[in-house]
Amino acid sequence: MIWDMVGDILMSALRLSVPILFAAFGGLLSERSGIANIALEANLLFSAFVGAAVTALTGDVWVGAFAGIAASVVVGFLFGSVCIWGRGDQIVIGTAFNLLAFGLIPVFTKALFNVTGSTPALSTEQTFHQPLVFFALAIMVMFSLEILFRFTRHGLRVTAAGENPAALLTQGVNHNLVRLRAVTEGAVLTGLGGVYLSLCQGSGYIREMSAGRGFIALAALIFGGWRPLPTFAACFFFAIADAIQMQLQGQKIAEVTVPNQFIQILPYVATLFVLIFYATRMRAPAAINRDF
Amino acid sequence: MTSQPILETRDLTKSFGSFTAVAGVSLEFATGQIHAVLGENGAGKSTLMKLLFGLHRPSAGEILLDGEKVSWRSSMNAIARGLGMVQQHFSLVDTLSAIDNIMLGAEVCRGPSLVGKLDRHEAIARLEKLLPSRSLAVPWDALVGTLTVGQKQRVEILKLLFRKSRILFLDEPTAVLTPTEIEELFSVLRELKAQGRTIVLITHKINEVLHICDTYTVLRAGKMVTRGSVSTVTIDHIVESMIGRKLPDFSVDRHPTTSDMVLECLDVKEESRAGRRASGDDGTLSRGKLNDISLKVHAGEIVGVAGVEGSGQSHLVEVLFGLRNVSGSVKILGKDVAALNSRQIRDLGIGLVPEDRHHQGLWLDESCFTNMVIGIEGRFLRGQIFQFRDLEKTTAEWARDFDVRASSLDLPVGRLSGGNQQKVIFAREVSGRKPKLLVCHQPTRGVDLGAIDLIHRKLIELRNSNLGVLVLSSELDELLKLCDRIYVFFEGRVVCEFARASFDRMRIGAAMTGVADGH
Repeated sequence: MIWDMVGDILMSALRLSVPILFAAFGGLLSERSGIANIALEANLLFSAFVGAAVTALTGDVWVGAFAGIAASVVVGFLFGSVCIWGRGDQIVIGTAFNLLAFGLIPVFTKALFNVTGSTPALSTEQTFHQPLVFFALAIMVMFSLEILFRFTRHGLRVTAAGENPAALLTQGVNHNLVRLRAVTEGAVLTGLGGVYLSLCQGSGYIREMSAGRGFIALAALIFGGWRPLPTFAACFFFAIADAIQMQLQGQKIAEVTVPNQFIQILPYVATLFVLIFYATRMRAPAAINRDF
Repeated sequence: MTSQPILETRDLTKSFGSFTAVAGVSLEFATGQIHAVLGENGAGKSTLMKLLFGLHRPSAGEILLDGEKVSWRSSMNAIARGLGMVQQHFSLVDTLSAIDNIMLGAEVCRGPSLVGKLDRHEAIARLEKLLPSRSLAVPWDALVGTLTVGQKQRVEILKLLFRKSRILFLDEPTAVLTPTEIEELFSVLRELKAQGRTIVLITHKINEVLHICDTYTVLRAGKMVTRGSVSTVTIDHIVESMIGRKLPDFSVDRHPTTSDMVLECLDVKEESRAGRRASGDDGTLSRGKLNDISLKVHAGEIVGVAGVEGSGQSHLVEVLFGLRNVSGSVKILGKDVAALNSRQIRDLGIGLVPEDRHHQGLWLDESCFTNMVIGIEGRFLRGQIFQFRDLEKTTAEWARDFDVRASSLDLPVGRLSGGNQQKVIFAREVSGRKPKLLVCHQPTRGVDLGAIDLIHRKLIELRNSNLGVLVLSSELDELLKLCDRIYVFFEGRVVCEFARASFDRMRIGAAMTGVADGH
């Protein structure tokens, strides 16, 4: 009985980890290049919404998925451009993008479907049903990132842009273009996470359905020291906390019914504790949130 | 002997508005020689380099490479034609390996170009073919952050060789090196010269570089004042042309003085947890952490702290002023300072000339008057009202003591030259505070030769009038000139102590790298 429960929790953690993983890897690419990306939440929301909306309008889940990823790419490209050429503080710009996502999407849903904040529920033919395929894809992304940073020119330049842009600039390489490319590539990954939320884990877009996963991904990325493999582990840790939370809901613990609200905060408390105890030991890319 | 010059300028001029930074400079750099370009801060050296590298467009005049006129559209043109520069502040990525740093921007790759798989073996093979000898090699796979400063500089030189630079410019190459490392650098430069490369050293430290150079060029106020072959010139002549006047001989007259203890540190050690306020320089590294430091300063004595930067000097200063928690005891004028805050410690009678005058020493937007009373402004208050007439009269006297040259003391201090800014700090800390102990951290960094001379004379004068002085400096020559005793710091420890009678440049230099050989 206890093993059944552990199995359930692991399976459910697997499913829950997917959006966090994609968002964390997207953020990793961006942050390693020197762009502090707290707009992951906006990327998730826009891609989840556009994915669901286009699927609802065209009836084709593949068209919807691609549209969702494209939306994330547009958001990432805009975010990167504003950070690089607007030269504002990246945290402030990221916050603005998040607020924009919270505010703008309900406007679109109202205009398109006459509902505030969500898209119509999608039928089973209009969603994906293979969370494990997404999970496998995330593992592939992790290995690709390891290879990218260890063995490729692009990875080398991304690291240099995040650590000391002057090293690139003195060699005639425009660090801003390196950063923009990294942020945009990262947006593809985060977009996958968003699409998964509305087209695989759920069926349709629900208001603010990312529920802070962008921020949890950010915490995982910091916890993982901005390295792909430890980031993967950190994401999975948070997913397990989330899965336990779902298991515990409505169950009696030692004959006492704990209010659901207390159980639901579990993943967020876990995030908080990890950040307090570990995150300060991690070394961020030296030139993050700085032009140079 | 007179080979065709590889690089020439003719009447090169650059004006910014009404200010002419470089005025009609004509230079020649002969192939395969080592050239020194000398001049004080603000003499136009860096503007000249920016012109040569295409970072500025000349207002008039021309640049000739291999005898033909060139006009750069960007620095990339200059680099492509074989010019290369090692900046004083390295542009390296600490978290990447040496070889990755060397090929960054000119990577050797295989496979599709969108990603580009790095071929490090090929890059190393190519690089090793270019080396004059193994002495220039560094551990290729080591992270640059783990290398010594001398090795980092070699990585920068290797970057140039990897890009097939024929003319190597080195900006203040000796500024960050220990005497041993300077010798190593010079042997590398001689090898590169033997390969037929042309080397240009841009510096204001004449003594250190002149003996390996073939020619010299002196700039002053944007103009070329003199040039020629090193074999026919004396250092005094060059110094004179750099500052435009003769420096009187620096004869040191040391009076015997009383020997009351003004500062005593006993077994000062930092706990494993970082201090209350990390200084930012190396706050997280253990290298600069103090480890059982014991030292003494008596009244009427100049005591020096030598050492590579980041060996604990900044931490020591922070400890003395109560900004860092330590075990052990620190006594200033016989009083244990552990329980005192910075203000109380200062009021015991201790002056500070801080390491970074822009951030720690001055309020750049404010007038010289204001800057000379910061921290001691209370004595010009009557009730809550400033007595400006008194303030201005008194501070003007202090400024005269230290020969602060400003058209008006109302000027924001940020508008003064580095030397005059430093004199403002000295005026405040010495004439203003009238201390019993003066702590000077890098007292002459970024200061012109005339001001350096004045500051050095003043320090000796203060010593003779029974002030205890602690000088922390990365300029070994400065310490040798001033100090009665020198402590050598290495990785937060005192490795050696030298008395004036036994000063030895090479032995102190060796101690700075952790090699202690007795006293």
